Amino acid sequence: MLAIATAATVILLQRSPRRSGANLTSNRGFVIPVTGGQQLCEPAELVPADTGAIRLTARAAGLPAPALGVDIRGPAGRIASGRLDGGWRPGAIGIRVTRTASTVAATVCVTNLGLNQVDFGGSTPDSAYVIQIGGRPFDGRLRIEYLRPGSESWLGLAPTLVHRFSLAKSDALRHWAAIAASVLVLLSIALALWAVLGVEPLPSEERLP
Amino acid sequence: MSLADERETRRRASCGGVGTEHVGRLRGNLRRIPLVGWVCALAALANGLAWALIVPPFQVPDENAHYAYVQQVAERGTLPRLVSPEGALSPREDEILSSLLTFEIAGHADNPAPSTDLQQQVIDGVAKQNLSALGSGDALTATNNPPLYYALQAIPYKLTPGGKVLDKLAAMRFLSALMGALTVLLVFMFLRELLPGSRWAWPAGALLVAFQPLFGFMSGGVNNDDLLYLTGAGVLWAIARAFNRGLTPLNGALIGGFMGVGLVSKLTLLGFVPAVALAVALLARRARSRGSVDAGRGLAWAVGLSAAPIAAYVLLNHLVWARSAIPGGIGSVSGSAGRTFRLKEEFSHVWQLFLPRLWMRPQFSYSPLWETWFKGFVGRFGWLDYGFPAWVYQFARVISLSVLALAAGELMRRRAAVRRRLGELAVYALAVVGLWVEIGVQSYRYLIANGGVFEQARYLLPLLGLYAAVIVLAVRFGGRRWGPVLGAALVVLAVGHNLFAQAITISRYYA
Repeated sequence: MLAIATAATVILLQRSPRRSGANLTSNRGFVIPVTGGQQLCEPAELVPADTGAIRLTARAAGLPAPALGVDIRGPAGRIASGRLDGGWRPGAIGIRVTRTASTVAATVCVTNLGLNQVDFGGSTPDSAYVIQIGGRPFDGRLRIEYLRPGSESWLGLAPTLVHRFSLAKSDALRHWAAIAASVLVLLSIALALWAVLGVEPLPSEERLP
Repeated sequence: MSLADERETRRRASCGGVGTEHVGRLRGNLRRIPLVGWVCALAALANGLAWALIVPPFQVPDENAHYAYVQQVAERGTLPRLVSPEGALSPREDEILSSLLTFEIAGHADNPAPSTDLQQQVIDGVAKQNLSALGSGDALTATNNPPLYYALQAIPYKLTPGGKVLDKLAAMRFLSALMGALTVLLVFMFLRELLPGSRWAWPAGALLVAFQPLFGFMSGGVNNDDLLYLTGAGVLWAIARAFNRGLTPLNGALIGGFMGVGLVSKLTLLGFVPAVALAVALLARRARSRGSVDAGRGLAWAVGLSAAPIAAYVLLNHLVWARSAIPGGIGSVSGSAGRTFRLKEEFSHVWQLFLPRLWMRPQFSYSPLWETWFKGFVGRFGWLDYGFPAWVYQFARVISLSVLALAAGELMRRRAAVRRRLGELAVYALAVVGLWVEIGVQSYRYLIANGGVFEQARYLLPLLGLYAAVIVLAVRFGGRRWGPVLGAALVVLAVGHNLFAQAITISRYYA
């Protein structure tokens, strides 16, 4: 049990970027091309509160990988913006943006600030969505993950997890679901230990089958 | 109870079948279950309830379909039927599934559960619309299932005030967790009958079931597998009890009762029929050679109670519910996607699903034993969309092989006892083979008809009792000195395994 507790503590203290949300779009490979100087705009995004970066998957058609700009616009104008310098490696890329204070429906625009084409990960065709690339409609959608600012340990993220745990559940349960689940987990372990460590004395002799 | 009392009880039973005396004895037996058995069941209940709270609604396989079946039973008082093309669920369920983004999350391990207050407002908005709870009558993949589990789940459905889908689902999940706890209690009782000299090792076996992550995950969801596991464990307990105490009317009724209830919960339990038939035949023969007067009645109860529910189900399907006698059918299937049904290929498919290929033409491009059964049993969750890191399965393989070696060592050491109980062992082996064949046949026919993969590790969980027995045998190998230490170590490993599974579940849906 000590080993389990130690391992759990180590894991709980590990710091890493944590998600604030995702747009639930499948990533079917680098299927969305944006040539140098073009801007991709994706409407109907739900940008969660406490977003401090976005994560995309991307690869550049040639070296060096160009700089990318991000602009997040709501009904009342710009909500957040950010920039990633050129020279990034293909795969998942994080672009820091100014922190969003509240969850908002927005249009996320990504601009290729260089000369080389960049192919982004996403889904195409995507019948439910049309995005704009260079001002033209494109049948597809970019996969976007929204990240909280900086890095956090699981322990630091715990209050956020408790809040998320309270969503999309039965009204009768949701506000105490996290506490109840924790208590039940501890109770089950305590009962197991009780059973193993001798809820009843061992018999003096045993019958063999 | 004195010998004279016991004779009198048996005499009355032979006259009156499963009389009040037998029920009284059963109650007495239940009271004699050691406290530790109830503690193991309570641990399973707490764990199942924790899983019920951790896993988001409708993220247990086919939970939407099982909910639709219960809704049909509770709202219309009838069973679902296939609507072609696939009929709509009730607007109330459909809209809540949509607002929960169920199918954007299920099957997509990168997509978290709703995590913003705006999404919660959408869900609240759907709940307030008071949409109709009546659908087309189709319950998707659950439509062809027998009704018992759903009839039981209709109780919490009806008892939950208001019409909110998520409230009703939560209440139904709690009943499933209770079934999980009863399953663990039956596993404990099975171990008690199977290995009566290993009292100190029973908790290890039962707790390894209670903390088996796939079982915990399923116990926290709405799925008729939960009642299948319970009845599977019950059948094994009843068989072990009958081998231990004889084929009395009560023991025959227990075998038949669990079998009958299991068959109208999920037809997968058909895989146990050969084992039950062999058990009853062996027990009857043994009783006859000993001149027992009870065995005939025990046999009659076993056969009668096994057959009566399924016979009633077939009749009701035909006469009342306007469904085919066995919905979904059990005969050959028409092929699609360029596949045709071939008996020889079916045999090969069933064999390769569980055993090495030998000389046969390959039926799989991967090893089902490793990919489907072992990795699935160690843990693959949600709509099979997430699991452990790869090293966990490798580590589990080492542990599993060690446990199997210890259990085999114990069987070798007790080979004289094993020889005496070969018939009983053959029954358990046949239960395994029967379930394999049943799953394999369904797998092949599903492949032929739909071109998809049917099999999942959870279908093997009716054998949880035998899994626990292997654990107890392994622990016993350590003897009275090291056995308890080994048992405690395995329980701690199981607890850690289960915690890890819950942690990756929280990470998958909420982080």
